[in-house]
Amino acid sequence: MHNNPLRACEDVDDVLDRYADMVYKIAFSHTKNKSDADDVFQNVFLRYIRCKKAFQSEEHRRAYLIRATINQSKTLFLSAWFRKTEPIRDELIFETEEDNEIYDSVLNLPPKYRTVIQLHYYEDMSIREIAKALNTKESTIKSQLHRARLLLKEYLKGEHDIVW
Amino acid sequence: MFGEKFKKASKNITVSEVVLSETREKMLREATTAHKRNYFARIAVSFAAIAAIACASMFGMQVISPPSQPQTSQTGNNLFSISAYAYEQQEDGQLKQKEINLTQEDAYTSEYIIAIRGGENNEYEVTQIKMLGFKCHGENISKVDFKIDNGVLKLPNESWAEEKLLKNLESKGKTLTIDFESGVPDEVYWESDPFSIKIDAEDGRRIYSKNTQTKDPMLIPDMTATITATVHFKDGSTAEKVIVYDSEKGTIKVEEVK
Repeated sequence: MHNNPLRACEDVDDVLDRYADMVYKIAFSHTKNKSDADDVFQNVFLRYIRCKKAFQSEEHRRAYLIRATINQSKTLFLSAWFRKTEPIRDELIFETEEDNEIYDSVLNLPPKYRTVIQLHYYEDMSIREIAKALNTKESTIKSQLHRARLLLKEYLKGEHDIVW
Repeated sequence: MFGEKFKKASKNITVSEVVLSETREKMLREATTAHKRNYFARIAVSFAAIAAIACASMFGMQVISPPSQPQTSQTGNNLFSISAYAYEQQEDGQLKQKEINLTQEDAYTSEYIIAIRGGENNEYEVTQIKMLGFKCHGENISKVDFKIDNGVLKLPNESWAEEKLLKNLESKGKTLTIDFESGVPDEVYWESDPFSIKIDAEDGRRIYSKNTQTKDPMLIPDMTATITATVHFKDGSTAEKVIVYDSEKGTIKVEEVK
C-alpha cells in the first residue's frame, strides 16, 4: 500500500480519519497541554505527507505515526529548553471526578509508561503490537505495563472500584 | 475495568476542529506542491497561511566527515578528552546522534527552526538556533569548566530523553561546571543565540541583504562561537580545549590545546 512516493491528496482524509484521534491523544499524554499537542499533531501529519516511505501495511503506517508522535513530542521539549519555560499543564474539565482522577493519574506516570497505557488501554493494542510499533522487545513492554499498573494502583489506591 | 474507565476519561482529549481543518489544508497544499519545490521552500509554503509558528522541528545538515575521534590530552596519569555530537532527524521521525570529528573541519550541527514568519514580498524569515552536545572523558578529572561567548549552556536531567527540563543553565560570560567526582552528568549542551535568515519562497534559497543568494540556506555567514573547556585534574593541574564554531567557514574544530 501507499507506494506512491508523494502522498496523494485522497490519502490526507484517510490518514486523518483513521489516526487523528490516536496521534492527538499520544501527543497530549506527552505534552500535557493542548497548545503543544496541537503543534505536535500538525508536525506529525506534515512530516507524514512529506515522507517518501512506502508503508507495507496499515500496521506499518500506524507504527510510523506512533513513533513520529513520540519523537515530535520529544523534539518539542528540546525546543522548550530554548524557551526556558516549563510546559504549562492544562486544567481539563471532565464529566466526573473519577474521569479526572483516572486521566490525571495516567498523566502523572513517566512518559514511556504513559505511552504503553495509552496504546494498550485506549488503542486496544496487544503487547506484541506495541512492541513492534515502538521497535522494542515484548518483555520490555510487558514490564513497562506491569510497572505502570503498579503505579496507577498506588495513585488510585482506595479511590475507585477499579478492576485490572 | 480500567480500560473502559480510561477510554471514558480520555474522551475529552480531542483535537479541535480548527486545528484539524488547518492541518488538512496544509497537508493538501503540501501534497499538491511538494513536487515543485525543494525542502526548505516546502516548509515556507506549508506555513504560508499564518504569521508566526513555532514549529520546533529539528533536522541535521549533511554529514561531511568520517566518524569522530575525541580530542585527547594526556599528561602523566591525567587524561582528558572531549567529543562533540549533534542530532539529526531520520525520515521515520527518530532522532539519531551523530558524532562530530573535531580533528577535521566539520560543519555538522543540530538545528531547530523556532519560528517562520512572513509572506511579504515572497520572502520568509526563518528563526533558528544551532545546538551541539559535548561529552567529557578521562582519568583523574576533578571537574570541567565550560565557558561560551555565544548562546547558552545546558545540563540535561538524567532522564533528559523523556522529560528534557534543565537542571542548570548558564549564558555567555558565565561558567558551567561539570563535577566529575559527583558522577553524572558528563555531558553539556550548547545552543546558539537565535538568529534569523530570509528565504525566497519561490526557490527556497537564502536572501542576503545585497540580494545575493547561496545554494545552502542554512549557511550563516556571520556567526561564530567559542566554547572553552578547562579541565581540573585531581593533582591540581589544568588543561584547556577551545572549540570554535565558525559558520562562515562552516567549521567546528578544536582551535588550540594548552
